[in-house]
Amino acid sequence: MFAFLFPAAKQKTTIRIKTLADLELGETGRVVEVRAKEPLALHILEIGLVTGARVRFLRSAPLGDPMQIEVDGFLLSLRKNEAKAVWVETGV
Amino acid sequence: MATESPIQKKSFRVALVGNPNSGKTTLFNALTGLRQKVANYPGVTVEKKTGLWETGSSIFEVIDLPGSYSLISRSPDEALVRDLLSGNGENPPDAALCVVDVTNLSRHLYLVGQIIELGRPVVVALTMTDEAERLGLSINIQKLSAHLGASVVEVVAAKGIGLRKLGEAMERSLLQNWTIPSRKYQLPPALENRLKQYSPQTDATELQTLLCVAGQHTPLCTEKLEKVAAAVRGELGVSEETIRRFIAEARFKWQQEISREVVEKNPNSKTAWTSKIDKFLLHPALGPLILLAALTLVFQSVFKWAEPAMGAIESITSGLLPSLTNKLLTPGPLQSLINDGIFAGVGAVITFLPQILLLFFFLTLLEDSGYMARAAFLLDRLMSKVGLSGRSFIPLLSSFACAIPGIMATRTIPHRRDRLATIMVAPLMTCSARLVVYTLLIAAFVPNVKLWGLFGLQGISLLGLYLLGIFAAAGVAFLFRKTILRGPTPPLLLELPPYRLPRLKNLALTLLERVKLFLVSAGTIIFAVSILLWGLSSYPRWSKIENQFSAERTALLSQPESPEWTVALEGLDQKLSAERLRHSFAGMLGRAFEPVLEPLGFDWKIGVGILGSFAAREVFVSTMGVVYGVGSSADDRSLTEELKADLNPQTGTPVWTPLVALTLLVFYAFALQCISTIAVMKRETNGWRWPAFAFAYMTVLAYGGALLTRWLGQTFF
Repeated sequence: MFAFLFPAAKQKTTIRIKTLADLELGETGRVVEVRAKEPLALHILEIGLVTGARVRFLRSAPLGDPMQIEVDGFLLSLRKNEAKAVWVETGV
Repeated sequence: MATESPIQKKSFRVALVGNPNSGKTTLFNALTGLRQKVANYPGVTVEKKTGLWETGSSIFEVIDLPGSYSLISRSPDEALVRDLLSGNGENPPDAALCVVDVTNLSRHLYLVGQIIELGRPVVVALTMTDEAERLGLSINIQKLSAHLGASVVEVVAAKGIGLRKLGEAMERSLLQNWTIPSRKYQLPPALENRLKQYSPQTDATELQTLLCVAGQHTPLCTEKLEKVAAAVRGELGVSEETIRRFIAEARFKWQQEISREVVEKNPNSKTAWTSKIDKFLLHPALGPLILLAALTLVFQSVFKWAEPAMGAIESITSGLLPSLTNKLLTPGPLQSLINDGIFAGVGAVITFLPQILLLFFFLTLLEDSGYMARAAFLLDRLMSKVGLSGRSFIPLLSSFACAIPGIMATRTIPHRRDRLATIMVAPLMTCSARLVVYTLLIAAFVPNVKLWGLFGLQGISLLGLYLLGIFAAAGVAFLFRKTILRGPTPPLLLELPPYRLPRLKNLALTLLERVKLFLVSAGTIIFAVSILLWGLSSYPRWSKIENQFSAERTALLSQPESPEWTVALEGLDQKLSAERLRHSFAGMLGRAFEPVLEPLGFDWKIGVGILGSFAAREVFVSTMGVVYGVGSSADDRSLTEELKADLNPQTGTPVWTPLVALTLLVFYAFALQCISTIAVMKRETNGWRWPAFAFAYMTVLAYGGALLTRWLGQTFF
């Protein structure tokens, strides 16, 4: 009924490495590395974005930022700026 | 004394810790029920919630600690948890009760692992087990317990399931000799080797050495150990922070292994339901609309639903009780003190209890359902435009209830400048004490009509005042973040908890706590201020005035009774009380401030109200109650009617025009008239500098805003 409000997610299948901020809507990936200065790196890690964690980009906030992602079964909100520090492998 | 129980129960102190949204509060309420109290930690101002939990043979004093992800402190809240558990400062608890959401096992074990290393007995309570069952998860408790080296008990706190077992496990770990489980996770070889090499040189264990190398300062970090730690870091060429990251990574790896071994089936389907709701509530177009609608609904209902209860309370405090005193006491100073001082003052404030309860009801509902974090998500971009983050949203929204919990909630903000900016603007949010003043003035001066047949004009006016506070806060925050609190925008990493039905018990206990706090303040500060104000506005009595009036009165009384005579007598009484007030201490004080207030169109009576408000804003209403003698026997008019009827003795025009009311509303929207808020600011910022600054800027804003309002009103209308 409300389908017109929700644009369909694009699907990509090629394996590649990019940052969390570059994920397409609905795309999933696996965290390979967090490249940030301390203490941000530890902060990102402690909240659960660890190497091997599965992530999915669910949606952006109304003004484009922050983004909502799903990480191993819980929901997290973070800004594009921090998402750029998290490198993920997609298409696996 | 009551009869003593034959068994002497042992008493222990237990710290309740866990991640945010782990079900900690529900467990706390289930364990302690009504035996809770809120106090402050000595030295720090953190609100300390403790409760008594009694089992067959022990009494536990449970300390409810703020939800935290890690002991490596980023925010003042996390620092408190670390300090208390590691025994820095206050005497440490005997044991820790760790709350772990079983549907988030791997992640929540992180904090448990850190706490176990501090060396105190630990018992783990697994919550959300009913949810896990629905999701088809099964957990091997024995294995988990063996891995952790601590007892693990499944609980369904809301239904009271598992609580007895939890108590037994707690007793066992406290009474048996507790051994710290050995470290299970593997660190990089270079670090492992150095720990093995250096630890024998100190009297500490490998674990204690490691904690010191990572810069986690527990009382066990002796000077000698610190030196060794520095040597290890030097040899490896890494900082404390890098070591912490090593540890965190190793720990997570270990947790994931445990979780894989202990939990059957991966819990990925559990966000399905929440995701479906998020699709609507976080939709780019619908989301903000729903947020706005929700807030509008809250403020409309705060105004509407509270009305009957407020009317009932008012009829008691200004009708039933004074008439009772009149029957019991002869007219005189004592009767006047009770009716015009206590009932008028305290009663006027208590009337607003229903509204405050409704506001807290909605705020708690939003928080417990998981929507509050969504609101932060929706508004983060907007708030980052003024230099704040979505994290500031929760403290600022709490400030709508009261700036004090709001300012205390800023402890979850990890960054100092961000936190300071939030603290500085929190008092601009319309708190429930302002609501009391707003309600009085709006009810008196805004016509009760409907706009477009839907929204009441009074409700809209109230919403307007809330918006005024919000925009002022945004402007001030922006200004501060560009000048005195300049710095980069801090990161936002915010967990969005799954939607849950709020627990009735949690809701009820929160409201009960608020009622208690409100009644205590009404029974102490407001009670004292009311008596003080009654004294100041009743004395001194000038014999010249008294004599003149009693002469006129005698003359009048000698005339034959007639309708005109009754009116004249009533008029005389009113004139007398007005004259008495004018020449009382309060009147003198108010008139001394008249030159400052006159440009705003306020008379000395309003001046008295404003001065009284500096103790607490809601005192304005009680002051007006006392000044206008509402509780007194002769008339049963309400305060709003009294205000409208008050005439300027010189001009004969009403003192209270809608413009005066509006100007006063603007003044109250901006002014920092709350001693408690100033005290909390002082403690939270460690000094008088920030509260003094806040007081100064807000007073300027209030006076300037009021002046502008009056000028605009007179020029254009």
